[in-house]
Amino acid sequence: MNCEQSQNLFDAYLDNSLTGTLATEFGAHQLACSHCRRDLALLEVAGHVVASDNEAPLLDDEFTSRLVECATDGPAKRPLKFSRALWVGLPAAMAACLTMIVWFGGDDASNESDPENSGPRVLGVEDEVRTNEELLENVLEALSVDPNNEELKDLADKLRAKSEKIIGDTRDGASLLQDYSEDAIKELVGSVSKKSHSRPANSVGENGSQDDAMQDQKNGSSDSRAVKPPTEEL
Amino acid sequence: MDVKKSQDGTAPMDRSEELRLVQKAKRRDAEAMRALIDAHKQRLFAFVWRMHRNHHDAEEICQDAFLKAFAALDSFNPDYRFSTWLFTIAYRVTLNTLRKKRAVSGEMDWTRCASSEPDAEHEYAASEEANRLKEMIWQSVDKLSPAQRATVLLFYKQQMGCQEIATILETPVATVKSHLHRARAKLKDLLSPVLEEMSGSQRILGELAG
Repeated sequence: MNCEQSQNLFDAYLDNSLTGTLATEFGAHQLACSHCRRDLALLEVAGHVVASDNEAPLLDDEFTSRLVECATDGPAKRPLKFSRALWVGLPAAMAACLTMIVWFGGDDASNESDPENSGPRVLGVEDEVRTNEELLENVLEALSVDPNNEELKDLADKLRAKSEKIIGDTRDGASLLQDYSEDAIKELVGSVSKKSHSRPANSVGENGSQDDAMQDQKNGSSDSRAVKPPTEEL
Repeated sequence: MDVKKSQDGTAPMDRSEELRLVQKAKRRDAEAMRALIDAHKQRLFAFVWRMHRNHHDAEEICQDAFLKAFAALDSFNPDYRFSTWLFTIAYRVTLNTLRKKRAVSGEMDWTRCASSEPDAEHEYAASEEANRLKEMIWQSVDKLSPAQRATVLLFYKQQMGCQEIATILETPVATVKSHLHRARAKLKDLLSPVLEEMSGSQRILGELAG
């Protein structure tokens, strides 16, 4: 057997289909020919490397759950890969954040309307931010009545910082307001309201409606600018 | 070498159990589907990932394959293994994706580097030259045509016979044998010069052969 004949039998040998005299002759040639022996060994090693391959990444545990959910819900629903979900989800999350910023930062009138009918109430977090804004608004209102009140100034600064932080990271929003004593804020703003009634009418401020607001607050009005616990709004 | 053990260590599913699960999956039984997915997902993914060399594409192809398989369970022929049917669908989707991307080979997926963990195979292939040859072997496999590469992967990695591979590739058995023959010839042509350059080739081959 020569090298060409030997190499033509490589497939049969590797597939374990070489038998009889041919197998014996093939084996004899391999013993005598280092070139064929090396080529055959190379192919055997290549097969072994492929067979023992374990470099493929493992699928995450969510793969099965996503597929089962999709398969049982019908063909219309297709599972999103994480990366694709990120591409879809991230813009959606950004849009939601923008909506929140526009909602709370752009239109004061929305704060004066009935929260149940004033627009979409998407998330609990959003409500927390809104309540925080309302608290800040009330504190600022009280501060305009009593501009030298250091406690009110400090509280206003804290509320501003909290509002910015909540917008920056909505996940923190739900817990931030719990750091404040709403009763303390009520009491503080209420005490300023009482002061405002003892002042002359022309010293109320630039906005002539402020007296009305404070009066409403004193009288327990349901005006949305009045300080209310966040839970009432939720 | 334990050739019948799949990559994630799961043993091949018993035929009667497989058929029972398929029957239940036809009725949209979630647990049966879960069992079928868990039994085959890693093997299928390993195959598709080696064809594509891209984690996300491979995962998506696997998803498509499973969903198509479940959606068409009524047409499943119980004479075949579920895995054969699944691989057939996956191979078809893989080919379509490769054609669309016009990226038959060479797309490196770096996630595989991070996921590699030391194990027995890595230990015996410890020498630098042996690792280099191993890398060259995979690079050579990537240079095969999709049909040749699929044949090599199914034959060696998935331990399938030519008949089963022919079913998956939807070609005659003779064509599968031809793919295998040509793939080996090409591997030999590509790897022989590499081996020539290495000193102590017998030792290196011995290391990789285990």
